[in-house]
Amino acid sequence: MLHLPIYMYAELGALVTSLLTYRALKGTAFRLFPFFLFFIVAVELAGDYTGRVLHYNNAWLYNISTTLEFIFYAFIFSRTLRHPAYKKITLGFMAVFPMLVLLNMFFIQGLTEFHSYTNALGSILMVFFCCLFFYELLLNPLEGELHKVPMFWVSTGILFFYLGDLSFDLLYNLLKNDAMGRDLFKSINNNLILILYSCFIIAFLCQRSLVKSLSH
Amino acid sequence: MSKESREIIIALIAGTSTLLLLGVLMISFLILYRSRHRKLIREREQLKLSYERELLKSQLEIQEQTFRHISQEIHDNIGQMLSLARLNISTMDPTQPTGMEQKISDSKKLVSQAIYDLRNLSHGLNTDYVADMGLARAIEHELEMIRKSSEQETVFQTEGDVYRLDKQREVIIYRIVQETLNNILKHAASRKIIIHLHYRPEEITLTITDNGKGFDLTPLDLDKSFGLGIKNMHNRARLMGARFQISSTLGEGTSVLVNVPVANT
Repeated sequence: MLHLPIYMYAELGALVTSLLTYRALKGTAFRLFPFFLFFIVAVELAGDYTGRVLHYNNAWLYNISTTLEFIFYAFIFSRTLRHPAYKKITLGFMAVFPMLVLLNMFFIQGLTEFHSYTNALGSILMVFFCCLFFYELLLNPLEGELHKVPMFWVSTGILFFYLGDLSFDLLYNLLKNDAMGRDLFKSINNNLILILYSCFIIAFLCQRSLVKSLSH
Repeated sequence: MSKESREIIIALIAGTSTLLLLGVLMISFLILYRSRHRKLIREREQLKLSYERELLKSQLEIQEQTFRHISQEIHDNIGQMLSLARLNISTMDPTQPTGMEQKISDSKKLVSQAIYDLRNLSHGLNTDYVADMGLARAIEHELEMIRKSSEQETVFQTEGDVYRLDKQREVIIYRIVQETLNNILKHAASRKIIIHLHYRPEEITLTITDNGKGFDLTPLDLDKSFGLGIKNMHNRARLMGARFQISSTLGEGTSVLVNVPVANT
């Protein structure tokens, strides 16, 4: 039997929930979530197998997947943020960020190294997008109760995940040669993943009850 | 564990904790701010609803008061005049021309007066007259009615350049005036009522003074409906952002003061 780390169950849970609530997600910014989560689960399984079982260097896999994660979240924000300038920033990020990652992978940190520089930049920008979303929520206080707003949960998950991830990116050059530090980071990161995907699950359920309440 | 490794771990823990704490603070601020803001909006909506309810109530009360006044006027004044005219006519004897001319002339005068009073009353039937004539004119009209139907001496004074407030606030102020005048007529046993309207650019000050017997302001001494009336006036003034003050001295009279800010609250 395949023993999966606990955070992977959260990812699988999010994927299953997104499939079960897909009718409610259709027509919203969240409609691509099931595909995205399927990709994430596939990457995690492949990463676990190549890294833990085969002991291959799989940094390239995570470099690609994390970049796609940033692009996907930026897409979600571009669909959710209202101010045209904010939308433009997210779209600009989606266009420029992959190029920066490629530049970093080919010319700075290398293909076999985790792209911590661009990952740190992406994390900071994700936190910034969350702040923009929260700012817009502050300006529109009548937009339903906060705990019933699906994007509030998605943003909260993203905010905590990338805030927690940031110190790893900033300390990456020191941590890569320190086994204890890496292990500590892994356990922090696993908990952050748990929070992130739990927030997604709540968001999907909120979206479903929102659609239900609108259709009644 | 080497010193360097320990430092890295401390830096990682401290950095992650600080950043996560920042996230918690952000979310907490968002939740608190929004819940306070929503509460404020709900309260404002509630206040608006109360204001509209009070406005409607005031309009209905003005209508009621107007009808009461008209019925009294018809019964006490016009009815009397017409009865007297009928009496004059029925006591006329064509066989005795002496005095008949006088009776015809008296009857004509009585009927003319009744027609004049009826015409005046028909103006009063328009219960929207506060909005039509404005607050100052409506108060003056109210005092005229009181002067005609009672033995009160009434004085109406304005100071400053008279201007109009929005219709809703004028109706509420007018209703406060009516309620106060009612109280004076019912309880004060006064001989003189003075209403003073002071128009300033930033506020209007309304003062209603009588020289009646006054009363003790301790709530226990107040008649229940009278106390409720004062509370009502106080509440209405508060809803339009005005200050309502009542002062009374036993044996000397009572004064009601309402400060209405011009800026909409």
